[in-house]
Amino acid sequence: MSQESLDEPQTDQRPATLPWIVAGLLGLSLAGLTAWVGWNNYDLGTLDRPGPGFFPLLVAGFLALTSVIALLESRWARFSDETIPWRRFGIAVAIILGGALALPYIGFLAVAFIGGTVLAVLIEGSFRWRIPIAMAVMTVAVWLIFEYVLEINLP
Amino acid sequence: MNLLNTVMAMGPMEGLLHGLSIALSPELLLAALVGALLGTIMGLVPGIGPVTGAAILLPLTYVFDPLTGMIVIAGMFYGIMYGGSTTSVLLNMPGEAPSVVSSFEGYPLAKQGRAGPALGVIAIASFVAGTGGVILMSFVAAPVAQAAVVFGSAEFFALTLGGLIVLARIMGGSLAGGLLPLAFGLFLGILGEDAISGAARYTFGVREVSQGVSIVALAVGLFGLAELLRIIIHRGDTPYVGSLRWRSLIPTRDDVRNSWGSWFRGGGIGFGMGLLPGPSISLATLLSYKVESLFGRDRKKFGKGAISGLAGPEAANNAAATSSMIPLLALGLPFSATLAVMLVAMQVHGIQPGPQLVSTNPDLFWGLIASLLIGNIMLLVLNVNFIRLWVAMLRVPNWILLPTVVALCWAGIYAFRLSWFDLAVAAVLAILGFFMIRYNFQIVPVLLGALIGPLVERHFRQGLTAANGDLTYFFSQPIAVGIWITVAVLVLGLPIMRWLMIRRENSESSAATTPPAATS
Repeated sequence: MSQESLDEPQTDQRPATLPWIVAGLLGLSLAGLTAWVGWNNYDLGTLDRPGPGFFPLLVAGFLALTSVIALLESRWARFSDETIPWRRFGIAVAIILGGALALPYIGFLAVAFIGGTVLAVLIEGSFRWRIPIAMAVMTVAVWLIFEYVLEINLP
Repeated sequence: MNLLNTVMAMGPMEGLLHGLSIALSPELLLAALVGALLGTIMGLVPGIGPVTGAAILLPLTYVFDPLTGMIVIAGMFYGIMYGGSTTSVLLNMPGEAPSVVSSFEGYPLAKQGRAGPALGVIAIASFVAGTGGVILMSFVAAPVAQAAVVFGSAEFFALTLGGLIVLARIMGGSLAGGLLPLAFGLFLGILGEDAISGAARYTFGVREVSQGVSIVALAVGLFGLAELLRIIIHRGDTPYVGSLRWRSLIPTRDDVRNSWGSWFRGGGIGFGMGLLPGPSISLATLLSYKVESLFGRDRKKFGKGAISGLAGPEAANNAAATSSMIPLLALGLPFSATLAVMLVAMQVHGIQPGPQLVSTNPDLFWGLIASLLIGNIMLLVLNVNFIRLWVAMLRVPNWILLPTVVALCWAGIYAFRLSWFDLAVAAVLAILGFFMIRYNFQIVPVLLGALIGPLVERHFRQGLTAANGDLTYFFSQPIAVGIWITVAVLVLGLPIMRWLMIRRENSESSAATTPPAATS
């Protein structure tokens, strides 16, 4: 190993300029929306009696300011280069988001069983019959805890 | 006023005894046991730290009354930390940041076949420091709260807004890395009904938003589901764990001789550091490790399994966790992410901690402090007797554990307000949190902004009304001025110090690489 490679910091950091610009622009948009909606819909009141629209305007200003700072800092922003396995990410997000949206329609038992099985297969890497069996036991156990121990009705 | 005087007149020991008289009921003892048990189990899941664990377990406390719920949460808090230390020693996989230091000496001890004594010393050091911390806490918390009773809107505005800015700056590496998430959190905090006028704000016709963003969806989504998402996609194999018997936990005479001083040194460091904002618990463990490497009896063994290098940081960890509750209970300010989740738990039960808590709800205030003491004893008993169970827990494969935890999150978020909208919000926040962590934006300020933001607004508007619209009121009261000066020093002083250190390092490295001038 050369001396240079020993002296150089072992870095796996990559520029995060684009994500930071996106974050800054999203922040600016949100600030604009907050200010516009607040200005047009809520009473600002006066300094000695501020209304419900007063503080949101300050928040919008702070949001805009920090978004501009993010845009300015984007040039130096870095992140750890840990590759995202996009297929796995897509499936996991679909399960977490889909499960949340489907819960009121198909109920907790179905969502937890189906979602849990897909996640377990994703983690394990392949389908095995023990997975749906274990997930069925887990689903019923969680349901029983909420229904009978915590006395909270799940859909 | 009489009640206030009576409560304030209660000394720390009387207060602690009063708390014990409440917390020693069979139901509350069971609550402490359940909390410590659940917390330890959650802490054993590698990758799940105290924040994620507390967020995931939070929904399980809904059914309890406020005091019982808080006792369960406090037990969980300690339990998660012990669980995290166990995985540090046995697997070299710290469950949480403060446990990282435990793996430095704990894992080499485990590799030498001394995992049992290592875990035994952790249990004893944690117990000694935690118990001492709670006793000290009972002396400090009530006077701090008492001093803060005189605070008006100007002081509270400075404390809440200044505290948020300091925490966002300390937690975020860059300026926008902490402040932009804070601004987003403040935005989330203004959604829903205005607490003063009752006007609905930014609801866009969605009924669920009129009640504000669910704090449970926020905490579980940002901390629980986002972290689970990260663990699931970077699939980790279930590690191999050997067997352990409870008898093997008993430390040898040498272990005790080498570590007893560290229990107290670590405890003292931890208690002091825990009172500071930011990642003070992690810093306390690091500082304690450094101190033990200088003063520990077995310092020559450092890096190869020194028991003092394990006992000191563990004691610091527990003492800091205890003392960090003082600002939360006495001022209503959470100084760390875990405490922010604790604040969520309190708000779920309708409790707003702060200077008034000791006077308006002394049973809860002293009951909680006493229950921390009981929680420590429970944890010692649990850790000694159930070590084989914990080791067996570590063998449960991730493909069973992680989907179960996701299902618990779904059920818990829904159960809080029986709202599917909250589930959708949590899922979206999980994805947002995942990318925020990836690109070095801090997620803690989002939660803090949403939690503390409404308090900032209330004190700001009340202060303006009280001062007839005079903005200088916030910067002219002596205590408020002191708070703002402290905020300025912390916010501006740290970057200046960092800049000076970088400059010094650069000049040293350039001096080292410059060839010596030829002499004639």
